[in-house]
Amino acid sequence: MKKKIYIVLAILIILFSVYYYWQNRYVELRPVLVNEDLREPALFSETFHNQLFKIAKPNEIPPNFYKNIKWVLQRENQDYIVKNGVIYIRYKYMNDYEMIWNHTTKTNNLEWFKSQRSMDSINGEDNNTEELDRIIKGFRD
Amino acid sequence: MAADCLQWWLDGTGFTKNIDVKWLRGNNEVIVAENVNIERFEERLGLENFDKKLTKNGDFAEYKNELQRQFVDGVFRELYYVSGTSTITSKANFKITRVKDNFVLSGTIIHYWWDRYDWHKGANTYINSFGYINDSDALLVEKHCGARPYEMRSQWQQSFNKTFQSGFFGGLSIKLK
Repeated sequence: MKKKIYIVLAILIILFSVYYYWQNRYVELRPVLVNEDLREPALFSETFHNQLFKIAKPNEIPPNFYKNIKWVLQRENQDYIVKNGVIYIRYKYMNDYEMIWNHTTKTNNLEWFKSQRSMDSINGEDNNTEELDRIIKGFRD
Repeated sequence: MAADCLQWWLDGTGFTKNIDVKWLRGNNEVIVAENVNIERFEERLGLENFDKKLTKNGDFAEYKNELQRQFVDGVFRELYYVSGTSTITSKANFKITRVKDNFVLSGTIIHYWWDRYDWHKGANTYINSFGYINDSDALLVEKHCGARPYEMRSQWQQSFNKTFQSGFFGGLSIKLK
């Protein structure tokens, strides 16, 4: 009987470890857009919410995505790593397409960057001022 | 409302149509989407470590951010026939002030609901007890009868004034609802 309990416990631990590894492994961050190609009404859209979005194809990547994404991730307290110039985030975050879509749209949202600049100014945080000014200027150029 | 929006499209002015907030928020999916954005603001506020940044009585910080939520209404609800898939953009503007050992959060979230009343070649719309309708039929009405796509929008504001305490192990558990 004891042996069976140990086997069940061992299987549970292994399954949990695999699940934990799978969710927390780093995967490449890619831009996400609204899925305009959805040709049928979305069913169970709350449960399968990712169907409303799609990973951007190379020709669909928003212009400022790679230029501004690190700044957006830092501001959103999103954990990420960079290896050989490629940004990686944990799978559990990448699998939340709507959240990545939010990050993607922010990389091209001048008003959002201006609001962050104004917020930092009021909060007396001047560490990012130059970087933010550079990003805002980048939109004008 | 669905008939009203259809008529607006048939009239072909292309003008933006303001959708009644009371009617819109009467749809459960709108409230669910609104709450998703509020919960995400709660998570983000919790990560800002205001209890460490605001150390003295009277210290304050501003928090500004925006989030978007996409949602689809159920085929049995009228909103589905108004917009199908739509978006709520929520813009938060908060001030967090330390008052002795408490933290007072005041400010607003402005929710913008928006969608475009339009049709896409190759797409279908399901009408309950009728079946699938091709969007290309609607595009023919646009081509030959002068109907035009237009923007729909609505806007409402929620005000907040809440007091929080730092937890035993530090950190703020902020609940806006």
